[in-house]
Amino acid sequence: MPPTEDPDAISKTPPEPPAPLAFDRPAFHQQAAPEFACALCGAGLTGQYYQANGAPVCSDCRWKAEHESGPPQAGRVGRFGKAALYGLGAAAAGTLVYFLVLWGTGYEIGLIAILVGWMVGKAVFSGSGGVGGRAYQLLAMGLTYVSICASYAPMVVQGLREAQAAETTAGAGAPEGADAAQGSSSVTRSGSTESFVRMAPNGEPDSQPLTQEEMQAALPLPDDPEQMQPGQTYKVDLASSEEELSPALSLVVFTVVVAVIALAAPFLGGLENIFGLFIIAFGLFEAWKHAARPAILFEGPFSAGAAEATRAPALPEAAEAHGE
Amino acid sequence: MASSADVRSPAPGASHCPACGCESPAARLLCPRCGALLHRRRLEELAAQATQAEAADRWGEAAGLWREALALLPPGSQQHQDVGRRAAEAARKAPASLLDQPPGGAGKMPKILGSLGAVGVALWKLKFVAVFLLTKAKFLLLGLSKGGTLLTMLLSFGVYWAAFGWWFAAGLVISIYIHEMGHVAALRRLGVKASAPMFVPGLGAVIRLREAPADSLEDAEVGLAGPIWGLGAAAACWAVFLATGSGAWGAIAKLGAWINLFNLLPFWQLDGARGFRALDRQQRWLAAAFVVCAFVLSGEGMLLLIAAVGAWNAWRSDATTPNWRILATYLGLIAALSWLAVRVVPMPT
Repeated sequence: MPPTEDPDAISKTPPEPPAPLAFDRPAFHQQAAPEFACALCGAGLTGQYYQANGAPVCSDCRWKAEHESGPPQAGRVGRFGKAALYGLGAAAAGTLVYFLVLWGTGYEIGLIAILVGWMVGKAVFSGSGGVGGRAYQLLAMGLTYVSICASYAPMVVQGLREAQAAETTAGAGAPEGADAAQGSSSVTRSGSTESFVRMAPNGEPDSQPLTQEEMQAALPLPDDPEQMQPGQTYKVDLASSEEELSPALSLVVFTVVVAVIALAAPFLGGLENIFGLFIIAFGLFEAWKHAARPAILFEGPFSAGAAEATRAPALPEAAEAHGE
Repeated sequence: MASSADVRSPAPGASHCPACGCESPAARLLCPRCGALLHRRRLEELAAQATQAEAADRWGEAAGLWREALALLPPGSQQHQDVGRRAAEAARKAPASLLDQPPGGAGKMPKILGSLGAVGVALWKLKFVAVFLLTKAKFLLLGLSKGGTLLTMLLSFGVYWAAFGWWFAAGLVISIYIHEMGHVAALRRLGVKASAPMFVPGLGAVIRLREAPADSLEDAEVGLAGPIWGLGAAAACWAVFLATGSGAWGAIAKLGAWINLFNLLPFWQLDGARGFRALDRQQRWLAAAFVVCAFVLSGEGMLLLIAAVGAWNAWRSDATTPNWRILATYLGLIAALSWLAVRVVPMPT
């Protein structure tokens, strides 16, 4: 049997004092010694150097960055198209996340708008090849807004369907115009697509008021007026006289209507939706921020020090210095 | 690096490397040429002062000195880990803030109370509860003395009033405020410098840390302090609802519980993410499984989201240092807040 440790022996051992700290060089577990070379062109740095966003650069590269600043002109259209594609994908993913959360939790979490703005901003910037800029920022904000408003679409569709159902229900009820039309034999039901007419013996529309029974017993209007019988009430279908849209066109029109209402939806609530407008604003700000052209901050010049310098020790020595 | 750039003016100041003499910006921690620590002398001074303070049992002072040294060390280095550990240990040994201690210490029970028997003993014990509540109440008022906090709080109140009505807006803002003061209390106790809470309409409130927490345990303690205080506030509102039957208090209790539950989402900078940082991979999976059970029992949809994000967090993690106290705190908060969040409350009139 392996020897067992005496727990009492361990507890009697006084705690070891902390190892002395050494502050000459940092000891990293997994990091190579830094190379002192220009981050842009790779040339060794001697004499003077600058720092650009935390990385050392030589004087030549700094001069080039200052005098050649601006987005590259070649391939602008292609870059924008790629950025739009990436952004569209991120926007679709953002809308999907929103609906997944809604489906899973039952909550409409507006803060997802901020996540969407971040995703779209990053995607557009990536698609631009790291260029960024005002046009990309506007693209990112637009796509973010569309993604957020897409979440209103189901509500808009439901609202339109409910409105249509309400119209149909109102049309099937007692005709609103019946009382007002007592002196006329031509009645059009409010909200309905039907109109009624009764022929007098002289072939003119009868001026006597129509009863409910006569309207219910009305025949469809014949195509040939000569076939209309005196004393008979006829029903005119107004809907059939209108030009009907093809299913495809109807779908397009419906989609456009839904899209327009959904895009306006955040503002339709007025001050009551101020909370939602704030969150949307944060989302748009995230998109703006992450699609911006990167700013390079140059600091210096700094002296590179003596010609010969001791390089940082390799990892095993640094690890040994800390008792590992 | 991008070739298109907006070039700005150079920052002032430079420091010299003690090893090779290379100049570099003052904000750098490592020499770009030889990799040496640029602030070696200052680090050695701080370490010596902190060690002296520890020897003299001035733990609060030692914690502050170690934290100052921590800011001069590159994250990921062994020295950063060691100094962070020293700072956290010193902070835990430092006495709690005077604001939290009952004045005059325990003391002896007055004879007059002793003559009242068990009633007197109960009153004596209640004294500490009263003092505890009064000191916490005083601390809560402390936040209102900061202009930025008060102004942004009023702005948020206005926005929420427009959306939800004044009484709900007041309950929401006060719930958020108490949650943030929980973070502030933990930061003060650990000696971490931070800004006062700033309210952001639509987002809640934020506190900017001016120093990084010494280690993941400190980060978790600060992070979970907010939901702990938030739970207290929600529970207090629930108690008032039970006593008065007022649906408004019940609604605010549920809202407070839900907001704090949402904050336990282990994602980005939310409090749950800070708590998760102190857990190892196995514990994160345990937490996600517990949250799934809580969802099954309560039906609260937010728990499903927390479980999903928690599982993703666990899958990505390679943390190996466990902390059972933080895990127990996190699970306790999940259980209590989800219980409160699903209570049925009559619609307030």
